Amino acid sequence: MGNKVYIHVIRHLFYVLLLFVCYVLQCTPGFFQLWEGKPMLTLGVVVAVAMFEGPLVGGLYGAFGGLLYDVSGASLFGFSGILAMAVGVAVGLLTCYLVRNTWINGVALMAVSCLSVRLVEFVFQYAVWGYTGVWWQLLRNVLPTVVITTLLFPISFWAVKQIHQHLQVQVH
Amino acid sequence: MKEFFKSRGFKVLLAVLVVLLAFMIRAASSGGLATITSSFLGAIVEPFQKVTASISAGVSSFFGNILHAGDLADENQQLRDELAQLREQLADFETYRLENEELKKFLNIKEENPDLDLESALVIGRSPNDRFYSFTIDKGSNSGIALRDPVITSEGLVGVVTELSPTSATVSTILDPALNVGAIVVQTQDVGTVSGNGDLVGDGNCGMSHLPRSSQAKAGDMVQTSGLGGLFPKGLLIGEIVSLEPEDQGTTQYAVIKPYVDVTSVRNVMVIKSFSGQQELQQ
Repeated sequence: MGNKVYIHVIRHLFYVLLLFVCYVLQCTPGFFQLWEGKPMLTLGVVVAVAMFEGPLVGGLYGAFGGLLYDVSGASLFGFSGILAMAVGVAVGLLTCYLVRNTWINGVALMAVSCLSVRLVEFVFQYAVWGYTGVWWQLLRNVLPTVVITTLLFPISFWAVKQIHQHLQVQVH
Repeated sequence: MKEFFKSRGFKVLLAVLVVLLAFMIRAASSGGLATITSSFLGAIVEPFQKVTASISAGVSSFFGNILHAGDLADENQQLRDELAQLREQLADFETYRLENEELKKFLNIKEENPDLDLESALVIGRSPNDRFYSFTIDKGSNSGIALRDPVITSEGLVGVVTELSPTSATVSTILDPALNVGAIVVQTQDVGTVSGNGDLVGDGNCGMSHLPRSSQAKAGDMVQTSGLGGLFPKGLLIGEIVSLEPEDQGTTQYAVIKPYVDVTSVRNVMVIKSFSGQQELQQ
């Protein structure tokens, strides 16, 4: 019993460490930038964890990853946490009941999730304030962010898969 | 799937949602001051962000020098062991040299404006959802920085501090339409307001509104802060006029301004903690 708890704790410590590393990398100036878009690596980890661990764990990691994202982002603290938590729960439910857990499905889920999150952020950061000419943000920021995040997602998927497979309690 | 929505796990997620909403309400009511949770998370990740930001800057200048150092390439073939040491030293040297040049420029600013209390800072974070090129710096309230403190470089005005935690701060740039700066055209002494514009930000420009219709300002004229309002010291360079056009109502003119500072790639900044004539922020 103690060994099972130990493995669970270690596995989640690795997930948290992966989240922190991705957060630091995604905020580094000049790192993996496509036009004005930067990859949302923390969201990639949230989607991957949700695919392997289910909606509850996915939602909790989404909340934590989103809060990390809010620390240095332009949105209100907690806003990205709610969005990422919703993504974690949705992806977890889809993977449990509708979609097979493969990296190709993961890429599709990542693209839809990232696009949804960025569109909601676009609405609340730009559209509702009535600024003129902000639609260029969709082309120069939102879409490049979605593209580069989706392209880098397989790395997060592979990392989470390795952690999940090697630190899993074997049920006999 | 219905079982999940009736499970204890779903109730846990609802509780987390309530907590996140509480964070949002607290953040919205704090007027830009970071919450305890945000400050705690920021304090943990800020040292790592400084390291990666420094590495990113160093690698960029290192490879630039290698590509243009033909003589060094010839020497490198013969002295491979010494080359490894020289590469490390060159990366460190470039970092210190650039930092030294920036600090010399800031010292000039200080000598020209002795009433400015300046704090140097490094840009450590640019998040994917940053608005109008806002960024995070590695100094916060622990360094004496306060909300609405102006942020500058040796070239000119960058923006203001809009979010604050003990160890870091978020800076909104002059490309942000929410930021209004009292400005004056140096050549004609016409007063107006500089602010961001969604139509112009794609080109890295901002705009100056409420210029008098009779203004003789023209393309190429310099624009600096007027000091009116007490939020910015007088005389900070903002940019130069690119073009002028009548505003919609026809009684004033609107100038497109090209900022002197490239806020999209700035790495070293100075925060003006205090200056003579500064208005206290009403909270």
